[in-house]
Amino acid sequence: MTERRWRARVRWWRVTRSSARVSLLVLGLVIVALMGFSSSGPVRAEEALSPEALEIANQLNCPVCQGQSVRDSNSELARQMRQLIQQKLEAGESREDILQYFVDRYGVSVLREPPRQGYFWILWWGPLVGLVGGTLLLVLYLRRRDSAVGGVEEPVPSEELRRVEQLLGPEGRVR
Amino acid sequence: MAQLGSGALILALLLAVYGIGASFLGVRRRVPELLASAYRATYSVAFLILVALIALVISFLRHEFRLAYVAARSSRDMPIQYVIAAFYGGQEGSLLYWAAVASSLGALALYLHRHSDRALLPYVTMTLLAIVTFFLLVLTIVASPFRLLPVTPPDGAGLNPLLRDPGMMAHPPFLLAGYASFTVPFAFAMAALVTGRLGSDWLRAIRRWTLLAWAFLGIGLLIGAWWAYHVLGWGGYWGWDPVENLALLPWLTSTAFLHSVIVQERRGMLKVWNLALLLATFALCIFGTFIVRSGMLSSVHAFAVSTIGHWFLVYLALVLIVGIGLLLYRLPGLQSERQIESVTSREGGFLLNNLLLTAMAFAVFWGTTFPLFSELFWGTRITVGPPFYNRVVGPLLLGLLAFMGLGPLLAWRRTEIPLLLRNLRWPLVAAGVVAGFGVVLLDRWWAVVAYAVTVFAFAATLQEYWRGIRARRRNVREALPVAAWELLRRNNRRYGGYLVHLAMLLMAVGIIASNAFQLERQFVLRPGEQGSVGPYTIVYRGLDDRRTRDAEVVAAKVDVYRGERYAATVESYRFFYRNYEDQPTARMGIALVGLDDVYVVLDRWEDDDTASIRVYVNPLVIWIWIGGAVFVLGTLTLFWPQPVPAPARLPRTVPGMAREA
Repeated sequence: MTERRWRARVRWWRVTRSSARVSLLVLGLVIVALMGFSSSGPVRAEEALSPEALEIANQLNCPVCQGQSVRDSNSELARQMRQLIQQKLEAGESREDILQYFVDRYGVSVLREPPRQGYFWILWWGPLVGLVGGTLLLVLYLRRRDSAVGGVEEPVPSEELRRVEQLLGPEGRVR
Repeated sequence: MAQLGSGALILALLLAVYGIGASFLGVRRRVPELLASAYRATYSVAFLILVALIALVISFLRHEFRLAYVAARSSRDMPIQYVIAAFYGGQEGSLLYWAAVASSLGALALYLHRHSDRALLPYVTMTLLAIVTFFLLVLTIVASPFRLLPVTPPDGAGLNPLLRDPGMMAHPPFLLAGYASFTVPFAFAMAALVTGRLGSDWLRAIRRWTLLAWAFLGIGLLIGAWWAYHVLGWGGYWGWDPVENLALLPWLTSTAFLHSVIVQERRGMLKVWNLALLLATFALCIFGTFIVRSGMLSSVHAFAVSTIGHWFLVYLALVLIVGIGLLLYRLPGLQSERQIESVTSREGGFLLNNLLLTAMAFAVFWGTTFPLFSELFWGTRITVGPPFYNRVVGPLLLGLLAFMGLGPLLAWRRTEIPLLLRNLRWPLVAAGVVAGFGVVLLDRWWAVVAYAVTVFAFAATLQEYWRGIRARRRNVREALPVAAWELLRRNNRRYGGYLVHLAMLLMAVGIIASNAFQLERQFVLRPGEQGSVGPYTIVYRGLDDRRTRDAEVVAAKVDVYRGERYAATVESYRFFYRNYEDQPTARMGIALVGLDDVYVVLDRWEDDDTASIRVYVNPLVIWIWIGGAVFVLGTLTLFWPQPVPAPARLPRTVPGMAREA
């Protein structure tokens, strides 16, 4: 019990500091805010899940809800899955084993991020191919411009101008 | 009411078909009377669709449960604002709303441009009415909101609980209005392609209408994010959900258009590209509207069930074929008037901006539709979740932010490098200072980079303002606030645009912080117990059962302390609506303490009031909403009427027109 509490405090310290840093950065103020964290009253901050379990839960889709991760969903199934992850972690299973266990049961769609293997590479490389292709097109466009005769503009003959103005007549007049 | 509504829709359909025929014949045979009657038909179509919409709303208000649509979406105990909002709570009503917005804005555009762009108008009318006809066909044949039930039920089922929220009252109307109002620029684009008249008047008209649609869509997305943050309870505001992504896509492509159209306006380049962007934007709007309807992406199998999907698929194909066909047909006439002279120019900057924006849109589109292909070709269902998008879109977004700072410093045609470097000096110094502090204080390197880039762009934009203000003060001798105001008023397109940039940067501050430094903990607490997360301590006070007219509410009261000091008391709610008891919804308890959001989610509870509570600390999320407010203000300044000196414009338009004639 004491050990757990001690660990919790270490975590507490860490998160306190990193969160304080953000506000410090933005405000540009230096406030020593890390004083006196003695807590009063009964603490039962019993964190059901270890950070690693939360992280694993965040990699899994809740199978029964739309677009929420197992970590963020409050459905019963997601809760059970979170607990199962925690149990498996305590039993010494690795992250890969746990993820594989869920993939075997629910299919690949349970993973929030498709694995990088097989045809899933198409998904991962697609945007890069798009970006490179777009860049190439852009370079080609600029090249073509460069090789074309410089940006000299042909003067429009004045009679042509008059003709056009006549043609445009009432319609061409701007509002 | 049902008869009135469906009658109005059928009449509108007939008139729309007549209008298409009349404008076609009128422009072919050159009969001005026929054209005038086609325009009047357009006005009447808009009026009739509005009549149908009002009839539907009145049916809701009078609780006419004989209508299947009303019975399925409202009930007697619902508060009146949700009874009204229920009309777009389902497929039929939202399609009717779509058609109403598209036709009214189309009619308005027709009226406003009746003198200026006469040659385009017949084709604008045709395109507009063709689009509206499609929606009217769907509304009268497949999905009529005025279908009657054989017997009148005593009470309705009530609105989907997720929609019973203030955020949801505003989010769908804005988003759908955004989708629908892209009809107008699309109609103008088609008209310009048919007639070959792509002069600068056309451009100015189309830019304004695109801006309007873009603003609607942007505000809709923003309200959607706010709603998700307050209701969905996963501590975030953007989940890369397929439906969200599809709404983002047209916004990205139209943002690209709004930038590259400046190049066309100033330098007569990129005509094909701009038209392609408009076409893509409209196609994506149809795609988005239809995917949301069909439920095709969230569950691929729903596609077969939905009858409306096929209609939209055919329609989308039609839009693309006609659009691309016309674009190819006009390709020879769409040559650039000038050529790009240097890569380090404003034009080059806009090109790169477009590259990044379209690459982003492509990546999002790819990730969103990949599950479809996966199922189609490999028979495997997969999910593409936030990790993919964060990894792929994040770097592109960062590049875009950097360009937001760099782009305005580039000059048209070509930039003197020493001058550019001199202008870059202060923004780079600011970025360097932030990076230095960041390296010392923050432990996520990517957040340091992102903040440095954000501050660089922010400083560069402010410097642009400052230079503008200084120039005014030198020339006109105005007081500082007057000069700032006049600068924005007289040059609203430029400085209003920068205001939108600043809004995006403010949002970036919040987005980066909440992604990098979010804290989360889960507690199981009995009343009076406490837990701590980061520098915060929460004390759980207990549960409270309440009743409202249409729901049972469970509220968990939580005190928030920062260190030892009391900061706030929040309540996190669960709502159980009648008929939807199995789908409880929620409203989060969010306390703004300093710059952190302490975000309390009530997960579950037991009879002895033991509750499972999740607490997130989301730093700086408030800046996203502040940025959102600035975005709205900046967008409003873009619509400021500008008296443009007319004589200066005519000579400039002539060279372009001469070539097209």
